[in-house]
Amino acid sequence: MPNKLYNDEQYPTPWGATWREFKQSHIALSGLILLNIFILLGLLGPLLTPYEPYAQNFQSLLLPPSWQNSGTIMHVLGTDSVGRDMLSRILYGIQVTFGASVILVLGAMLIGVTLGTLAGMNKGVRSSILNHILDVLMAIPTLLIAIIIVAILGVGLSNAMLAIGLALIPRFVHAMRDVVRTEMSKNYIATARLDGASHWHIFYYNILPNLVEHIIVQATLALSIAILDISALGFLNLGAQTLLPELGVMVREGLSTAYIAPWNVLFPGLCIFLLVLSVNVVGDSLRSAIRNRLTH
Amino acid sequence: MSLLSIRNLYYDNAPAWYTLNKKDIFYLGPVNFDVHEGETFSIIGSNNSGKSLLGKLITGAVPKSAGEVLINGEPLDNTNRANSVRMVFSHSSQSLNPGISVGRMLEEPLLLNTTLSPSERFDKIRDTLRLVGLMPDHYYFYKHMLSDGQQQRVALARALILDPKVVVADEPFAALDPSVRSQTVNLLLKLQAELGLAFIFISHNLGIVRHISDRTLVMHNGEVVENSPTQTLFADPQHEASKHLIHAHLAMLKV
Repeated sequence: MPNKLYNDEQYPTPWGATWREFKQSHIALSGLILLNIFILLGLLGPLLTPYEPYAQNFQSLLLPPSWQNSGTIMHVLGTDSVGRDMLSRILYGIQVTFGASVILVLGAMLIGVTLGTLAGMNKGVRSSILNHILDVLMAIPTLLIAIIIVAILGVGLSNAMLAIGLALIPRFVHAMRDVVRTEMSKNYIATARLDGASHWHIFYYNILPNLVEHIIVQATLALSIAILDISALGFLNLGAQTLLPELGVMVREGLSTAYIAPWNVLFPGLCIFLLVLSVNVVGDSLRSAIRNRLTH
Repeated sequence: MSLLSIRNLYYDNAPAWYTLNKKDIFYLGPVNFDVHEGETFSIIGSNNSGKSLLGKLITGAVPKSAGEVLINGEPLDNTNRANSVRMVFSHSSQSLNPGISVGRMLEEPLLLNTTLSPSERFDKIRDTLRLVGLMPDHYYFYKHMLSDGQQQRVALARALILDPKVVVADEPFAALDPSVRSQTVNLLLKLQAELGLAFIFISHNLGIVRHISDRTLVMHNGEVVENSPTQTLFADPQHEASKHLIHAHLAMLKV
């Protein structure tokens, strides 16, 4: 192994250069911090909640947030129409909505990247059939495809996840195929092939290092779509069902009492907004950081 | 006994019957020539004459249609290619992988073709970097941190790291400015003297060809039209195509 003992200078890797470029932008950093807070809340949510998210308390129906005159500190963000604590439900809701989105994006990414890489490394009819069929799918909005799939499979959170995951796969396939195809035509792949490298070696050793960042950018974009679609399906009563503390479901439930208790709609909605905003800001900044990292 | 012999090499890109977009068919050959140890052999020709293609056919980057490439009398195939004939592609933004460090780039041919241990590989890479005039520190560098001349040296190091007998270089100087170009030319001449390599150059730059090569081959429309010692060729070109090239070159020198 290389002896790094006397190697005083630090040479930034492509990743280091991307990070250096990324942290130049305050907006990008704020987005990253916000996203990390959401990730932490999603992981630690059940440990922090003061109440069970399902516990109904008929002594305290529709309590306003604690900073209003009639609010109590017992329920910081107020309660809903059956007396469930809003803060607990939102913390669980982040776990459900964000967690479900992350899991489905990871699944779609795994399948999409594999298919896209195969399509990119193969040539000719096989690869173009795969690509053009998926092009047709990409012309339809993911939410619409997801609604069609849910209509076939039936409602429920896991069916909604499956539907959105399936709808997201073409995006990954398309993006990965394009990247892998341009990579494959480059001279350093030809030199590697002359060295006797197998397809697997070429992919792992030469293409994957250049692919990782594209995968991450695609995954953040897909994640924001997934969060919106999961909550949209929940809102339309096609995804998560009434009892589950899912952010879209919470907005729908709050809608019936929106005039007398607007916080029941406001807080879950704000939560969805901030989640999508932070994911989009991070994804977008990451993309421009990758583009700009070699310029200075 | 010659080091590398090309016997009746043919190439055509006639597409299979089911291909939809048929391109123009390009024929190359027959090509016959020999390269001896320590010799510098140049291939010149106008654009689209097939000289880069000939380089790729020799190294196997493009599969040949017929004919033989012999190294020391043995046919060149996948088992002995990497250790004997290496290709340096023309310098461009795609000649080095931007995602991996120079060390990993140079390690790849060793991983695939030798059984050296990791520390032996590291030593070999360091020695090769020194050989082409780079520093051991460049092990950790990435492509975007190197100048064009340094990138060309890395590409050369990648070709030399397996101690080949023949190096085929396609326009290795095209993108370099004159001072770096002459540095690189001198580096190649030095390496050739030290390692006894045979070089096959594919070049547009007749000045450099005249300066460094022993024999020169002229290609025209996929055919070899002339193959003679460089001095003879430049003094007395026989074929129409070689006359064009050489007179144009000489006329430019007079201005």
